Amino acid sequence: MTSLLWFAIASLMSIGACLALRFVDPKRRRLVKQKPPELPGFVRPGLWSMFFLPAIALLFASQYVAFLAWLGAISVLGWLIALQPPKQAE
Amino acid sequence: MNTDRKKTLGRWVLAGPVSLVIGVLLMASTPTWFPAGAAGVNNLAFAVILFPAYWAIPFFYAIIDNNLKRVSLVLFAALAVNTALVAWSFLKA
Amino acid sequence: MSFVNKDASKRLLAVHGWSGTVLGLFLYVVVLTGAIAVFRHEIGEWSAGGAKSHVALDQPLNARLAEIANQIDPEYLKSAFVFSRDSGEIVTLFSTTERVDGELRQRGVRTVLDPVTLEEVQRDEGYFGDFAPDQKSALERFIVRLHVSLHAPRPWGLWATGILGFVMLSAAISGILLHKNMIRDLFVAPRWSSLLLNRRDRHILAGSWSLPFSFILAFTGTFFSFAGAIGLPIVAIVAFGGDQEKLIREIQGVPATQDSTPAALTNIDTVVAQSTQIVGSKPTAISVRNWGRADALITLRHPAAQGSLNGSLHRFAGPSGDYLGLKPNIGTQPSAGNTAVGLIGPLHFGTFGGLLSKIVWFSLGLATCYITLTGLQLWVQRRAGEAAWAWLPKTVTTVGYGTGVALASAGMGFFTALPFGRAVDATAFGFLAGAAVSILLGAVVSTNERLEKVFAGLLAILLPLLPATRMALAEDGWGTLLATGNAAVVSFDIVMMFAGAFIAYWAFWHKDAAADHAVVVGTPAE
Repeated sequence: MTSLLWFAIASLMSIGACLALRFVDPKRRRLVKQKPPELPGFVRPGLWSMFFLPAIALLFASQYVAFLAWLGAISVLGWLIALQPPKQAE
Repeated sequence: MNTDRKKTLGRWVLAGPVSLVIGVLLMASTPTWFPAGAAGVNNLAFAVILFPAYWAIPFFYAIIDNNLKRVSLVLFAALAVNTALVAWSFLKA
Repeated sequence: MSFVNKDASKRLLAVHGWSGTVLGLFLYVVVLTGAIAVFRHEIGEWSAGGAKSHVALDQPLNARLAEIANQIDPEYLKSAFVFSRDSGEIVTLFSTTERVDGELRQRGVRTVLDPVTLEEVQRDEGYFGDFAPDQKSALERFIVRLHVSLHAPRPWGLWATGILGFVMLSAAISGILLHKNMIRDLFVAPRWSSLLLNRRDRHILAGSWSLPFSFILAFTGTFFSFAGAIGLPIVAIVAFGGDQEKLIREIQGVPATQDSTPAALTNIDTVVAQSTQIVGSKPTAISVRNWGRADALITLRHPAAQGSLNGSLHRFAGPSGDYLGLKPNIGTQPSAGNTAVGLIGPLHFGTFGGLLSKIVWFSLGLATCYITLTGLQLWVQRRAGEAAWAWLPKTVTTVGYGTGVALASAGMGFFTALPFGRAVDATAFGFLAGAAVSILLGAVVSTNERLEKVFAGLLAILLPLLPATRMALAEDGWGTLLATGNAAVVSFDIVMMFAGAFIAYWAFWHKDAAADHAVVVGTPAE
């Protein structure tokens, strides 16, 4: 049960970071002729940390089962999140 | 054009059969130099585990390095060293 | 990467593209069957119509095993192995190992026991390799063998899949080296400004995200193919002068001391109970070495405990039944080599975390299929209009869908022939028939777009037909299955029906993103 719980929390955090990163991604926005939002410099590094932090936490807690499942799930889900085409006029 | 062809062919040979042979020889020589550890199996286990890497490293090196002469030199040196290691293990046995 | 200059990039791209084009379709077959094989035991249970009993080895077996041990040739007592099949039947293998024409072969007696009554339903004697294969697990075995060796004989099949594994490994590595803006492009959805760019973006996006896994799956897969085919023989030659038996003894960690004094074996049921208490899970296999001797050893295999990656082996002294402790998979004591070897299985099979990790690994497999096919489509798009490559688009579609059609057809063959005891042949025949129909369709249907629809329609019919056929010929309905702990079978029936419905929806009702962008892209130049 704990493996599953660790996995769920870690994945939710990373998916949240993923969605936010997609929203603020400058290149993604430029390509649909939208101006990237003006954000303080720490936002994107912060989001990336939020994306990877669960992995580090899982490894430190020796939750290897949850770590591998997280790594696999995020590889697929991150891709599916990025794959969604941006709305032309957001 | 002719020298270009020769070069391409040379690279094919080095990245193809030569790097495969090096991979196999590296695997064969690993039990002779890899520390066996207390259980006495590390040298055997890692020889086999590392095989994909043993093959991939000379393979990519042969593709990436622009200097084909250096590539052949390095790969044939690797070939020679590992052949010697394997031969030595036979003589010892 | 900075050390890869323009010329090197060109060569890397050539290797990435050509190896992917020449071998990509074979790789696709291996990866797709690998993704499906993640559920091999579920498929085994499903195709057998549910397990007759899930108690397996967690029941009194001692008296029955001792009885069999008494009936057989004493030389087979060297090695005993007991496990249960996905269909629930308990199998005992008593054997001795012999060298025949330079190859190690096991000779002995196999008995198959009914899991409820423990009555003997089948007995064979001879070389294990010559025994008739089990009919009920034919479908599962067919899929696994297709993945492992493409059904080619040993060692050629392993060589072939090993090379395909290396192609995947090198595609992943050259992918990293070639795509310099990988991080910057991680959230760039495939663009539609041109079809070529779209194909490229799709391939790269999927490839980038699943890069760690392409690497892991390819590395471990290459290891599995080559370890048995060339790794162990070569290591045996160098380390033990070619003595493979000695190598196997070293790896298995067989104790050096031998004592052939006769001694009665302890009660196996007591050992199983003790082990279950120590580990906290039921054993999945029992092995006994030197049954009836003073140096007899009992080893029990337990599945991975909650939160751990690996199963474990536990040893007991044969005559006394004393617990001797954990047995590493290789060697007699813990080692880095044992840990590393132990990681390869969980990393490749994804079976360490129950249904969750299996679903994740299955999805990763499908993502890899997508990468292979989009890579091929990118190659096609780059050469659009070149007559020399005109055959490729339909070939990609034929193999892409046709593998699925052939597998579903293999399943149809299996289910229709199982009641008549001909499932092994019928599975292979079904696969070949499905493949032949697919190839024929690929040749006959005029355009690639139409071919995709034809195949999708075929799959949408075949997949739900599998559970329908299974149920029509099975003894137990859903109610009985649910009552006997076979919910997995019911779930699989439902999954197949949904898969068919989903494919139909996707192919015929789903509005493709391409339709939105047709104006931007225009039709490709003929």
